Amino acid sequence: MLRGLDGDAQAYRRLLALLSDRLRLYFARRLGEARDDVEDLVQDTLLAAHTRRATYDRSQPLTPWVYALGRYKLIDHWRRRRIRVHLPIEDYADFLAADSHDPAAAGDLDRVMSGLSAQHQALVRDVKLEGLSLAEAGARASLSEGAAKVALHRAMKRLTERARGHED
Amino acid sequence: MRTDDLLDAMAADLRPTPRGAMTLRLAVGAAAGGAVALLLVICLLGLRGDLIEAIGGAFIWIKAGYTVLMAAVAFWAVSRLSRPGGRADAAPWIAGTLVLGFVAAAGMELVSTDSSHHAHMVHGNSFSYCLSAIITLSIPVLAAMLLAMRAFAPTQPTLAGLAAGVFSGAVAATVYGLSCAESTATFVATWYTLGMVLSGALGAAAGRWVLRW
Repeated sequence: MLRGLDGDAQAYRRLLALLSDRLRLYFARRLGEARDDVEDLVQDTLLAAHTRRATYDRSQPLTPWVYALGRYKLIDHWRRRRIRVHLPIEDYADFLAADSHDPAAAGDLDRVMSGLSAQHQALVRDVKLEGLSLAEAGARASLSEGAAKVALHRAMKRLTERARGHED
Repeated sequence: MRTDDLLDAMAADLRPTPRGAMTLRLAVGAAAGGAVALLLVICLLGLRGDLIEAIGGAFIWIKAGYTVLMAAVAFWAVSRLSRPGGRADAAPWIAGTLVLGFVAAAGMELVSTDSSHHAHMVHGNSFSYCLSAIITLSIPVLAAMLLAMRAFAPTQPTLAGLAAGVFSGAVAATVYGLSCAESTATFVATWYTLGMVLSGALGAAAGRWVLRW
């Protein structure tokens, strides 16, 4: 790109070919079967990259710049077609899983939970984090459903107080 | 059109892009718009009668410093937001600090004067005139900036327009300061700031449509 900006047409042509492959993949992954649109978007984005190449900051990496252009074109495309895309959630399983295991969040959780008794901690984890029913969680902690409900309520109240204390 | 042909055409169309081409283009737009605003002030509003004496005083420089700093912050934000994916997260904080600083100065000025003068210090002799002058003067600057920015690739057009609007308001307020004889911090903190905010809003509204690509 740098040589392209300085006017080296051959290097620039090679760069454009490389970018068009990358963009084709990028759009194909996001548009699914609409193949004509993919090629249109690739051309649109490359044209924007060409006419707006002055906006590329030489000190920055090239790919984020190109993908930012592509992303804008993609959003524009969706908006124009008023497409609501339903992305299969399986594709994002990695992403979602990674998110829930955010080490910083886990650390915060441990810190806040550390003030609870072991039984309360187990109840909160089972019901609020793992989504078990009160009866199931109660059975694990050898409590009746009603007792589990009361204990959980107390634990949550205590957590709220502690969390408030942390914010203050 | 086949993509390969397009690539050939673009490579053939390639002309060298000098470093800093974008900043240069923005600066040219700003200078052109600012020149028009200055010309309007000189021809239509007239410079303030006591300009020569005022330049000797401190307040006209404080006033100009406020608006020039604001213009500098907004210009930085414009150049950041003109790039795809560009952000200017620091700009609102810096601009907010500037405004707060000036408002604090105005507050001290108010506290140190008798309360019977307060209404006059806020309204001055010319507040509605001042406000409409700043907004009118900002329009040529805003137009020049948006025209330049249309060649760029702002991925947040409304925000980029807002920055351009604040910039043009700040430039307009700076040149208007040559005509406006008001000399209380309270007046400047109120009406100059409001002028910049309103031209910012104008810029955001315009940018939303004009800066799409």
